[in-house]
Amino acid sequence: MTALANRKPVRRNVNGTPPPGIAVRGAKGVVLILACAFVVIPFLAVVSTSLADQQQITEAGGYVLWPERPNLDAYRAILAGGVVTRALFVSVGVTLVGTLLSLACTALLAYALSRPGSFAHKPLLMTVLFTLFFTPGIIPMYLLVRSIGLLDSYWSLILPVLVNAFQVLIMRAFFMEIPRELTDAARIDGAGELQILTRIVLPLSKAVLAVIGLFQAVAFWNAFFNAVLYINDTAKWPLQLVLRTYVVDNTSLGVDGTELAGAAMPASQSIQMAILVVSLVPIALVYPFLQRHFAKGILIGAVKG
Amino acid sequence: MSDIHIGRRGLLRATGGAALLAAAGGTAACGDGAGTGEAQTLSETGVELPSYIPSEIAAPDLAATEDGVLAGYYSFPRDLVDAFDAPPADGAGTVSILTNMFNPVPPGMGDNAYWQAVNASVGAELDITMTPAADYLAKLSTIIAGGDLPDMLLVSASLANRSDVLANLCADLSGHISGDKIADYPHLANFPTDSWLPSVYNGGLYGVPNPRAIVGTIMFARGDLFAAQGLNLAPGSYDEFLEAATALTDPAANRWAFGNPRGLITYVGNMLGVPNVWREEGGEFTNEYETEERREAVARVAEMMAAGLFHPDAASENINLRDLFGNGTIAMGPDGYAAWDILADTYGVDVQGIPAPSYDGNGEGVHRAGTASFGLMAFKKADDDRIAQLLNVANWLAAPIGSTEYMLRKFGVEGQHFEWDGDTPVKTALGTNETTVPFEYVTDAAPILGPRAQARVDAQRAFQETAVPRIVRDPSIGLYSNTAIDNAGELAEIIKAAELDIVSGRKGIEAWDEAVDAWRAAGGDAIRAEFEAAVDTASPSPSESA
Repeated sequence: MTALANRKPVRRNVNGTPPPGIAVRGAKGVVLILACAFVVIPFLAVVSTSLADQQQITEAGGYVLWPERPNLDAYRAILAGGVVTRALFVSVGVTLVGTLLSLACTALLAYALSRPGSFAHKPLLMTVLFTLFFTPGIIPMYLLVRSIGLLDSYWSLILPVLVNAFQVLIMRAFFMEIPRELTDAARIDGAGELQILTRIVLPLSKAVLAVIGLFQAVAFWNAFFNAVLYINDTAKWPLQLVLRTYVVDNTSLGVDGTELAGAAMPASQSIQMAILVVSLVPIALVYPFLQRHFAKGILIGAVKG
Repeated sequence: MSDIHIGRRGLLRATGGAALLAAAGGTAACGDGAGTGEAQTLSETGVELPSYIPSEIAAPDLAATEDGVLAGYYSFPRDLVDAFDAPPADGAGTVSILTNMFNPVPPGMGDNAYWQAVNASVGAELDITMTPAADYLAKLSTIIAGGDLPDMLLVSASLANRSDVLANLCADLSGHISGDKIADYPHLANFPTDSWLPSVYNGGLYGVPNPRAIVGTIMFARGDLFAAQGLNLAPGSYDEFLEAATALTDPAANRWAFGNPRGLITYVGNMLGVPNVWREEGGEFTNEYETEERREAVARVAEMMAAGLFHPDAASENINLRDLFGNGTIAMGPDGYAAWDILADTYGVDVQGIPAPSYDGNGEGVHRAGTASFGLMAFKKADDDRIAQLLNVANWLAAPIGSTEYMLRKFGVEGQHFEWDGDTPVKTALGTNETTVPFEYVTDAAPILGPRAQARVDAQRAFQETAVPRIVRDPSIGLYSNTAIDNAGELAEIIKAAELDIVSGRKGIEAWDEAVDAWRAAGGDAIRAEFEAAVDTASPSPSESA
């Protein structure tokens, strides 16, 4: 008894195998630390460079890992004129409105397509699939946007990318997994299709809504090319396009840059990095709140259909 | 007022480009039936380039020379002259303009006092649609395809079907500005003749240039690093240049002579007399890649790379060369002529230019001419009155230093956008924010040296006085080849890949011959044929060289 009582419990891994030795665990730790460093160091360099002064950046050859004389000059420079601030509001507005509208339209379409036997079910499904495989080119899209009077309108940044066929299919697959008995019961209780969607289906689909919402929000936030084509008034430019004017490649030593011989020096490296931080922070703030839905939603939607 | 840079031969070549364009431009789009795919003879190709009439608004400290050395200014003229008695484009209403930009985006016109002041001075509302340069081609192509052209648009050199666009959608300005007619627009007349050559298409002048110095790319060096080791900034031969590069290289001190191998190939090529893209003799064109000298330049740079004279990441072509030059990690590198001031101002270091010596020390090296115009500001087809209004807008934008209009365009309104600090205008915070409207990419005043400290302007001037007399122009400027535009990316990639393979030691110099063969097959020979046909059709009578 005494011997048994004194015996130390043997630690075992979940699968019953004995734990690895100190050397293996140490090696794993080093590998994980290195892996983390690969991810963290670029971000650290971006933030540090945005806070560093020109002298240190020049001495370091472009990027610094830790600012010796940290200052907020770069942030003051980009936020002073009001252009970046205004563009920030434009981007937030477009992202919010676009994402909400996109979710609404995607959910409505996906729900309709998840009910076999609904009106024009197959032709509609085929139409959605068609857009997945055959996308319009830049110029037809431009002509369409122009013909419906959306040039220089914020709607030109939202409507052309409002519904994404791939996301419709993911959401449809998710909806199809909801037990039919639930919707039948609601129907017996007198619920219409809209009530079934809003009171039964959507509350059960928060995971996929979060995923699709995040996809769309990131897409709206990062989009700049539609603004290049459709928005001539720079006061309506979204943040990403404004930022592009700061970080666009310029001629440099060694480029046979006669075409650009008169081009100005690009904004300093610290300003470019400050711009990156400004553009990253808002979307990075949203991500943790949706992260727990992320893997779950995308896997459920992706493997069943 | 005579054509100081280009003789009749050059002019005929330029108009030959038009002949080729008429033939090979794929004119199906315009339906005029000329698109036979073969060169056709134009019986009347008399495109007369605008005369060069130097401005007399502010006498420079160093006068421009006839062969292309820029005028120099040691300080900003303080006795400003009104270049216009009244807003020159009064009555033009809104002038829509499409151009690219390299600066941060400015506040919109409604919130931008600088922009409004310029509009008031011009007499028209300059409605500029600006696009980051990296996306400009996509925007331009889309606008053209959409068919709603602005009044003025920057037509970039790499626009596909450029000839069709110019010939069918844009106005021929020759009736307004050829020869001495340009005197009606005196600030455009101040443009060097070299700058007008790229405007010639289809037997006409299809735009206003954005003038740049003919001197193009310069091999810059850190003067302080040379001085510290007592090295000669004017090496007399390749061997002497190599000695300097070797002396400057010290990996233990994190310093190398060079950072860009392909730039060095061009520079060593200048020592060897490599042609500027093409060499034309008796109507026959030879590309620089096909010359033995160019092959030798590649081999020499491969040797320099093997000797460790290049930054270790040089062959990646993915390093910030300006920063490395600024912090002394690399000691030499080629860049556009405007970078002289940019590098010196940004990094506060002693920047010098090194003219290429002759390879063996006998005679002189050559200097490749740059493209003397940034893009081409074309005008949408319109009646003569409208074209005259647009030319007046361009003329205002070209007002030279010493004029109130120049100061307004470059620095804004005194007291609001800039203040004088001695003889130097210093922008206020508002000025820094608002004056980034890219008027300078519509058109600009003729290029000058300075205004900067006398020592720097003198150094720049001395470089130009050495380099410009040795300048070698690209004989294909003013000619047009569809293949050159359509296949530009593929052709450049063939050569780039071969050069990097060879200089980094992955392949021997014999890979160069294979690459040149591949280049010929992929379009090089076709471009040659198109240029030769163009010159043929443009040379109906014996003509002398410039």
